[in-house]
Amino acid sequence: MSEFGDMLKEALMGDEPFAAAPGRNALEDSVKKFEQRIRTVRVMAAIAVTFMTLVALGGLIPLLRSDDDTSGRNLALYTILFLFGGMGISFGKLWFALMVNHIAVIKELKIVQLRVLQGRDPSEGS
Amino acid sequence: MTHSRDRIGNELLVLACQEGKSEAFRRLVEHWQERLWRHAFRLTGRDDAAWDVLQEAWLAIANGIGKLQEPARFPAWAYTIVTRRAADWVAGVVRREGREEDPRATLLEEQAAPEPEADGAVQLLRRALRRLPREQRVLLSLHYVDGFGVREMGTILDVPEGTVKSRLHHARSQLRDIIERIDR
Repeated sequence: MSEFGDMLKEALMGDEPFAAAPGRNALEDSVKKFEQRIRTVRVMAAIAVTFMTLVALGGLIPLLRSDDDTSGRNLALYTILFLFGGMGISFGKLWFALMVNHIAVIKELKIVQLRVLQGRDPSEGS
Repeated sequence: MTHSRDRIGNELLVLACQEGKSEAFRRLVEHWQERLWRHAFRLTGRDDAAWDVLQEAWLAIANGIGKLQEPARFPAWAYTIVTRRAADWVAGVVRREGREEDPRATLLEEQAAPEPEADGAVQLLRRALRRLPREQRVLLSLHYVDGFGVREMGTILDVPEGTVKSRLHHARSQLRDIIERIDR
């Protein structure tokens, strides 16, 4: 930045005295909210997986217990229930795997970038 | 070089947050707290209001960080949230108190910090900056203190890039005029 830019920065920052939050802990509140959100997402995911598993089992068990007397209409209903539940679980897992993979790939790229930068800067050592 | 490392380190923190690591979120808050507070302070003109705005902004960030597609966009995204929360705060004060003028108009002069040790040029600049309209001060701070480019500033302030450029130019020329008037 230019010399004028540096002076401007110093002048601007001088009028903005950063003070501790009065009578509250903003950091802890924010982290708690974040943890709460993560917990909510996990609970919702567990509820969704349980529901889909029950739907799949609700179709699979009667399908396996069916005999010659079972009507074709019921057989079709059990099959649809099983497929719906199974696909729900599969798509859920696929979405989760893609999301985790996406984060992991970007993370690897960033780590490589960081290593390249450190390699370029001899003062950083290894 | 250090700037690039900081940026990548910050992006890694955002990615760790997206994986649900609360320690990463704590470090992210610690890292950005002061800069975001300064931005909120510039927009509201009061330190207690700045804390209120920041608190709400962090809650929104905690809720939305999982959906952030590009971790590199975190700074501009976080500043945008603070800007919107500050605008809500100003609108709330105007509504509650039935004021017609901006509640922050006189606060900056009243709350100006005591002159810290600085050389003559910086002191002159500081006096000139206090006479500059708040919007222009915010614009200069985003550019010179926080180091945002024109595109990011456009995102933060929700205006086109061309508007940011012209406002930045106008702010600089107005600052020059004020300095000349003080110096005379």
